[in-house]
Amino acid sequence: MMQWFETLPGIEGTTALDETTLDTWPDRALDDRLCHLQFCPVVLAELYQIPQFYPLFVRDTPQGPMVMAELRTDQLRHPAFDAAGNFAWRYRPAVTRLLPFLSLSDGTPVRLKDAKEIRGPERPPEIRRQIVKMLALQGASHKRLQFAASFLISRGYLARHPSNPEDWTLSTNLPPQPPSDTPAAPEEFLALRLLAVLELSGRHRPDVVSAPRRTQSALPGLLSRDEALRQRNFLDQGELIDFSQLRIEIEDPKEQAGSDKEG
Amino acid sequence: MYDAFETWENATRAARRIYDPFAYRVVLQERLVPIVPTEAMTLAPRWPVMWRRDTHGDADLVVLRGLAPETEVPGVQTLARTALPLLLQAYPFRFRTGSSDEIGLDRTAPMRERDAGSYILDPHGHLLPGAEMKLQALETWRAEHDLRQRLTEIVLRRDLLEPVVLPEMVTTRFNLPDFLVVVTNPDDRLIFGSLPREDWQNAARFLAAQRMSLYTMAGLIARSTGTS
Repeated sequence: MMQWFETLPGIEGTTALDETTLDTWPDRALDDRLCHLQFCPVVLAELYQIPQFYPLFVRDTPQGPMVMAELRTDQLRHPAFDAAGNFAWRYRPAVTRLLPFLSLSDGTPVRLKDAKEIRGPERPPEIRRQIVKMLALQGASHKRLQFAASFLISRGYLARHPSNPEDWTLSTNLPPQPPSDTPAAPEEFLALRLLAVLELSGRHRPDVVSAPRRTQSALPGLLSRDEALRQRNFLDQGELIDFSQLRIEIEDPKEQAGSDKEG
Repeated sequence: MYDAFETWENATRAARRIYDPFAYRVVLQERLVPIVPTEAMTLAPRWPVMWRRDTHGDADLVVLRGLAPETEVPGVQTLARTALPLLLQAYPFRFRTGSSDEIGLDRTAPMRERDAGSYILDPHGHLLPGAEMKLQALETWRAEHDLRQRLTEIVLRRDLLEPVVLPEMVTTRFNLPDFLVVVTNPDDRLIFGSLPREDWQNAARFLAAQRMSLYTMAGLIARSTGTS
């Protein structure tokens, strides 16, 4: 099961966060390699903003399901990166701004092991504390979204992608509603919002028509209505346009040729 | 949005014709259109969905389709009928002001007749397909009207709304009312706890779609001010 950062060239796994790994780091060392990302996690703070640019989906990770932004060109209507390898939209996903630090989907803060890394400047303690704090927020966000995604999977709102079995996509059939007196599950409200976000963000996929989802049971009614409309002559009786008095004079081509010679 | 109300009986007795939505001025130009929560998912990719303070100070859930009044909504003629708010799909059919029970027609004429139009009823008194489609949109609106009212009451009573801050130049130039939206991370229990479980999914879809719709505001301002 591939982690989202493993497609970055030179990355050889992660190491736990401690005083030595927080000591130094280079600025923007991974920026020119981000175009190799296939997907990246979404954080709560950008849940409503990032669907303006990328489709979202849920993917299995070793720590559980995680909400991801899609960056694979073949899965997008417009590529995520431009020819120079920069993010094509003016939006850069939040997790890429903290690299080489990140939180795993269970909230564990780690640092990427980068074979290409050049030693950066030593960082003052307050900057290090800030990084730890931001990673804690990122981890908390991952855990909440993981709860929400797990809820959607358990209730049948999501189904495994037919060709990418590690990915979960919207189920084509809506699952039955639980009885009205069922108490709310943890993160159920966030999960229902996430469902709407997954659905709306799907318009960036090349094969999706952005129309409201219909259940199969609604189809016969819709088809019969469309058929009725198609067959309907919208000109009612009494309004028919009358062509009976129309005269069309067609010249005889032979006569026309003769008159041309005479002329 | 509407002009004078014409009762159903008068309109059908007078053999009024109806036309496709894009023939009417209201559909092409009305910038603020009342909506129901379930419409937010369809409208959010194009336009901001917000509450506005109406002339009585009440909150009215609307979609903002353009900034300039009495000007054609940018890009409206390229839309499908189903991409319009339900009340515009139904136009000229409408409810009597202050009622969601009595259906009649707006006293209006098309701006341009794009087709021959259609009567409302056939000689046997049955609805013709064009009228039926429009009335279905109105019925859908009526079915969601209660949720619209309840959700508005809940977010107002629980103080879960925040103002949408627009550049002063924009609000002054286009004479825009105050707009409100549900805060980014409200205490969900306050909203969902006041709704039956059957409405949870629709409420959640609305809340998510509303937040996402706000990101269309910049584009709307750019198109309306010619700064894009």
